[in-house]
Amino acid sequence: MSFYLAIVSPLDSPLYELAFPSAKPPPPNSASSSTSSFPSWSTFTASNGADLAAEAPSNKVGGNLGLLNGDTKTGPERDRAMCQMIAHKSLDNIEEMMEGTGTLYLKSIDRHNEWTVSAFIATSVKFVLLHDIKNDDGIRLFFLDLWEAYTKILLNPFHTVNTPIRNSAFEAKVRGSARRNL
Amino acid sequence: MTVHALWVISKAGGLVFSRSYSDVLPTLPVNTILTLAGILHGIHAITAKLTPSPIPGQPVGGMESFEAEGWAGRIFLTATGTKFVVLHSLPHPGLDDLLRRIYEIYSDAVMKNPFHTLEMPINSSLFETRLQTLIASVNA
Amino acid sequence: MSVYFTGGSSSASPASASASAPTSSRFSLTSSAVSSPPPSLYSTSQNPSSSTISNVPNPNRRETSRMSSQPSSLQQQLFGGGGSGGGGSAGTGVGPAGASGVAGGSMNILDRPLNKTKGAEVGMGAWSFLFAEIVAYSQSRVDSVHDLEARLSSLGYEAGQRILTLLLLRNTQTAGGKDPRREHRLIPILQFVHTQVYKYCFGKPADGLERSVEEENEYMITLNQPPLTQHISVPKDMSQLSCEAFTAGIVEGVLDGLDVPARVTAHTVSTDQYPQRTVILIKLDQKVMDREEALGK
Repeated sequence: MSFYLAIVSPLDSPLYELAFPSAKPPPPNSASSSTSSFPSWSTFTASNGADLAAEAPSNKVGGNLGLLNGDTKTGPERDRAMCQMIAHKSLDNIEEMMEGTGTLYLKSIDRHNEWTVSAFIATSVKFVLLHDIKNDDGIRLFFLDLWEAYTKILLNPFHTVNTPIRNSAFEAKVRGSARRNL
Repeated sequence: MTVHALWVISKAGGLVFSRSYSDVLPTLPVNTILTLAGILHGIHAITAKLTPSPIPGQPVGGMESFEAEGWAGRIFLTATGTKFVVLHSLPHPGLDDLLRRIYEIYSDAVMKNPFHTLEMPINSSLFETRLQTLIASVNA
Repeated sequence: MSVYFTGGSSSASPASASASAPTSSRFSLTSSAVSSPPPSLYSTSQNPSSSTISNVPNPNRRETSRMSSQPSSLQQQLFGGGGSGGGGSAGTGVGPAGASGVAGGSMNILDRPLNKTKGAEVGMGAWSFLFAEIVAYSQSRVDSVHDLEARLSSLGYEAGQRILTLLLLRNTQTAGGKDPRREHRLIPILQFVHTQVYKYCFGKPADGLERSVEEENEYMITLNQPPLTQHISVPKDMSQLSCEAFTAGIVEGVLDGLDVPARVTAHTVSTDQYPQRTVILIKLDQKVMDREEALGK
């Protein structure tokens, strides 16, 4: 049970990313079913929940943005790279969906192994959330909280849509909302 | 009441705006008006010095009006030192209100115009048209 | 009769504005209820202690972030007295500690209610003086009329992006958070700009929205008496300049946020009745026209 959130600028560069565990108890069957259906990824799946959870508290504000060095691609770092790749891959899908609909919350628009991708279009900036359980309403509420926090950040005249977000209060808000809704 | 002319004199005593609004006033060359405005500024300064028992700390006003046969002039001094001089016929009902409106137009069309430089001649078409409208309504 | 300069002008403004525009003598520009000395365009950004630019001494972040590379002393100057408290909290607080790290009773911008300043108004006089300074400042840094318009437009663009996000969020929150939406078809988007955005900025909808008869991808928004530039008279040697380029920038920012790239320019088209009538010309990107065609009627 874990989530990976990325805020993507109009230029497709990450502004903010965060991985966090779910606060809710896992439903009985979801993890095992996904592991069994994709055996080649079993190590990734098995380690991912625990590793991301262990990593999350030590995760600094804003996280480690950008590409990773080749020699650090082990354990949680590789999971992070994996998440980044899935989020990046789903951007095309999101853009395609955006054209045809006026809805801001695009739920479950993409799947990759056990990860489901949901997105929220805060005008020119996209929020991408990878999750492995279905929780449409909770995710919607989470996105609304995130949107409000992001809007307040954006109203800062020193912030532009392409400025990475490095604000500890923002991170606290996001984590708080994740605890409540996810 | 007929308004014959309006002058705006800057803090430093320079004429930054002058318009004639009636044809009974003799037309004077611009340089003459400049000199007259400078003299008026000086007279105003002298009368301010002559004020008996001025209250310490309070700004002293100088000459406020002058009168002649059939016509008069009124000097309106703003807190920042700009002077509006109106030459008008007698009697003059509603002159105070007119001066207030002129000041209002000045603060809107001149002071809020980014292309105006302080203490420099006023070159704002908006100021002129608004004054024209206002004074035409008084003169009519 | 003692009339002070600022007092005189501000007391004069409502009278003159109501004479020219009877519907609104003051107009609200993205609302700032708390009267801090410089009237802020963005309501939530005016809290002096809001160090949203965290000043964490981490070399990684410092090299990638534009703002955090500023020395802390400068930041403290920028944010006034509260900056030291805010900077200190950001330096020590990572995670939840940072949220509560507000010094001197001032609140973090993220904790401020977003709708508190909704409907608050900015005095017309204050805005006029500020805008005059914006134009004068921009003018001192450009060589040509075109560059000046581009500069004003880019300032408006930044405002437009923020206005759009704020407006959509407030609309969603008013609707109870169910199904957040935006317009995605061209005509509703233009109507959204014409009514909602313009009303939000200036207190009343724009006066007209029409399509150009010559070009299919050109639309025009008409403003009979643009409130921003009502006191500005452009010198003769710059006659092509329209300071409404700022409004055009707002429109461009909003359209861009709604995924409708366009080139937006402002032109003064005087009529006898409205000498300052301005037309905001929207020239849409071909991409938008293609998409509209693909989506059908």
